[in-house]
Amino acid sequence: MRWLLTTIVIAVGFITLLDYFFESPLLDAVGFAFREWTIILTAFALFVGVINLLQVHLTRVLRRHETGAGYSVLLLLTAGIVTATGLWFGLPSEPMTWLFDNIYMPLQSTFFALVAFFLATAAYRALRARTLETAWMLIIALIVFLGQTPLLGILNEAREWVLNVPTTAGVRGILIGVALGTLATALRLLLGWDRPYSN
Amino acid sequence: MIQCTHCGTKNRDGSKYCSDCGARLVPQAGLVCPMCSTPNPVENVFCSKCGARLVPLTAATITDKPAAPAPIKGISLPSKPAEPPAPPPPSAKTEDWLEQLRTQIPDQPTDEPSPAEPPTHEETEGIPDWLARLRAAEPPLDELSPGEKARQAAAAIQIGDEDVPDWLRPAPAETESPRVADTARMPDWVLEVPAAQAAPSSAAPTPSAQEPDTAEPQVPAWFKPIEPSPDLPPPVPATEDEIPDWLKALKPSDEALRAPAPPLPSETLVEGIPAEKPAWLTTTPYTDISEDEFLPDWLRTPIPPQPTPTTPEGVAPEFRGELPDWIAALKPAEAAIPHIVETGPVETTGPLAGLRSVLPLAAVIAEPHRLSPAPDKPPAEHARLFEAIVAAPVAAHPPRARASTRGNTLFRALVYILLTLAIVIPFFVPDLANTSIRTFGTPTADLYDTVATLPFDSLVVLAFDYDPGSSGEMEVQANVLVRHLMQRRTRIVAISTLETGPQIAQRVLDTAARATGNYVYGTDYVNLGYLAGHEAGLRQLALAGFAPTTIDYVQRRPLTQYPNLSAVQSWRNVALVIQLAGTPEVLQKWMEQVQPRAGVKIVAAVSAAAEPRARAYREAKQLQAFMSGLMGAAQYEILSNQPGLAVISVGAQSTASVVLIALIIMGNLFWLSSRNRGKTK
Repeated sequence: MRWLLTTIVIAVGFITLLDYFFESPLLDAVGFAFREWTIILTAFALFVGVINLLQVHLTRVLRRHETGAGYSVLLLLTAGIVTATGLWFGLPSEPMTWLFDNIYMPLQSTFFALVAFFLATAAYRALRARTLETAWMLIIALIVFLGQTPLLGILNEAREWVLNVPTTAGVRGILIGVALGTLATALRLLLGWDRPYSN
Repeated sequence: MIQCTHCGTKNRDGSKYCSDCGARLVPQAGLVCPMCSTPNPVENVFCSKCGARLVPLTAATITDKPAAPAPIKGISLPSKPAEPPAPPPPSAKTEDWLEQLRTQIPDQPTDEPSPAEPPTHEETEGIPDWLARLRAAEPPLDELSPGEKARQAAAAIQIGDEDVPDWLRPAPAETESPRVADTARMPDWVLEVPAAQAAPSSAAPTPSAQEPDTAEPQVPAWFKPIEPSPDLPPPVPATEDEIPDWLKALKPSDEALRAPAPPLPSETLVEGIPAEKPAWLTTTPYTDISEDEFLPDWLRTPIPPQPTPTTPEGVAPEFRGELPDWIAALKPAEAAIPHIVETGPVETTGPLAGLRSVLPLAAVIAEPHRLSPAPDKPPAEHARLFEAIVAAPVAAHPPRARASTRGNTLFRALVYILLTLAIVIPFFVPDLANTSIRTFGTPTADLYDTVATLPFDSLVVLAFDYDPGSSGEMEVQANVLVRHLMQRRTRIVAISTLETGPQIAQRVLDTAARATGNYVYGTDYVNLGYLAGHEAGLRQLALAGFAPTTIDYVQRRPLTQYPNLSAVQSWRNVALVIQLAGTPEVLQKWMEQVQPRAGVKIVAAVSAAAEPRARAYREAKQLQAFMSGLMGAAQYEILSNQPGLAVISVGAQSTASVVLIALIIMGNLFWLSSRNRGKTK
């Protein structure tokens, strides 16, 4: 069966690639169908992921003495409540909006805001000019910090230059590297050298 | 191959355990190595595992013709034709030392039968069979050659093994007739020596009755002769026939006791050999035990080298576990065999000392219980180091570490308090950063100009691609943008590529619509919900536009039922796409999949983390304009003349940034000062 899977993957990949480069009614139609299938499979993968998540935590709860079983119980309870509420009242609805606005959003925002406190202690301990490289990093960090602080406002131009010239150059380098890596991975899949689908 | 008796698996020769079932393998035939107990084939001379010699240590080497033994395969010892040994001189009378031994037995019967008569049934009743067979051996032992004695002794021992328990089987050969047993274990070259040269040396005389005064003070009490009881009859000297044969064999001859030591054979057999004794005879091992004193008990020499003080010096060498001098003197010297073996390790101890390649492996295998007489210093040092480490007390945790942990906790608490104050206080001072925010020439100004120049009633697609985690800085941007769009009376179509995006979008749109007052869902704006498929979904959206059957998020109707907004099915009708990107990845997806193919104008409001990526796309003209983070939202609020939460938040963010800068500078100053203190010390 491996040769069949490899053949299907290579054929679909090449058709999609040809559809990207060439204008043809036939290629457009086939490519459109492939993309629709991909969207359906992606949505179904989300459903499978939810089932897997519940299964993992249910197993942990059934084993009882496993570490974090209490959190798993909490997760299963909240998942059950939200699912039942959504199925009963539908989307969007007042109960679902209330759950989202008053539980989910504050929790997520609070969790994200805690990063600021860790950053504060890390700024004291980590940003030290131990070597030449860390000294450069410290200088750049101070420039960006001072430049984005309206209360000081003394290094706005320097901050703009740092973000426009060296930072943009670095980001472009990263993007080009990611593109080359993606191209190499795609070629390996298209040529059948990598077959993660048949493992 | 050795076949397992348990499972029948055939294993390689030399295997101890079955490779299939793990059962212990029984050697089918061969010689068992006395050193490592490895079974060897019969034809082996050396052990195939440890290299110890097998042949001289087994009785199988004693052949029927001791005078002309078969050459031993692999042995490097020279052989010499044996001459018929002279029989030992018969002892006509019983010696005093033998009578002394008799007196130690209180129940010794005095009316012994005549030695010429065969032993009666009563006499043989209490004697083991193997001893009776020894007694009945004929002709008398005195008339036999040493080789025949050894053969008979071996045969007697083998027969006697049947009646002896297993744990006692090796014992008779050593205890019952030590002299015969020694003969049986001797190499052939010893048996081949003429009797004249085999006379015992007087260098180590046996204790005799002629020297009772000198030996008695050193003999322990239990070894002293027992005084005969006065109730018993006086001891009667035993006749020659009453003495067992094995006892006769122990008795040295009178000539040997009186005569001076004969010249060493090495002086006469081999020319050119120095007369002095070799080093292994003149020096005793383990003379230097200074290193042993420093070693732990478990590393010390297992065999104490000091002789026991209670042992009389006159005890025969065979009783001391040593080879008699007269036998050791017969050992061929190394110089006599240089043409035979010239390479390999030289034996330094034992009866084979001086020979090469006798044991192919290290001597430590042959003598595992003996250490080298002078141990090297490194092992002793290692032993001392090991003892020092073991004896060293376990260091308790220094209290300084606990103090450091407490200090870290206090420092962290101080930092958190400072940061909290820096964030909270600006909310009570709304105009703290209002006048300091610069707007001219920023990317936010470009974004504001792009929205402000949109035609009235133009169609705008708003992508809510951020999750609640980044809503702190994204929602203020979304709020100010949507309010401005509604001020411009644009039609808004919302979409999201994240699962939580539709709910966020609906909340922002409804809030802005309520603030505006005249915006109606389905007429002025619509929420098309979640777009599945990630890159594939965006690619499909870029190529085909919104499908007519797309269901909206709130009223669950197809797009075609919203005539004021259904024009979004074609990108040509879309005036602007505004993406609210919480991460660089979602921005990259829109830039890669939608912008090149749809040919639509795209602007973005991104988080501060995605700002570098947005700048790169803006430099490439793929992104028309963007704003970033709280600062971008505040700039937009000021530009749109509606200062709100973003401006207040920027004030809090600025004070928090000041605290962070102070912490960075303090950390570097403390670190530099501590490093300088370390250099000074």
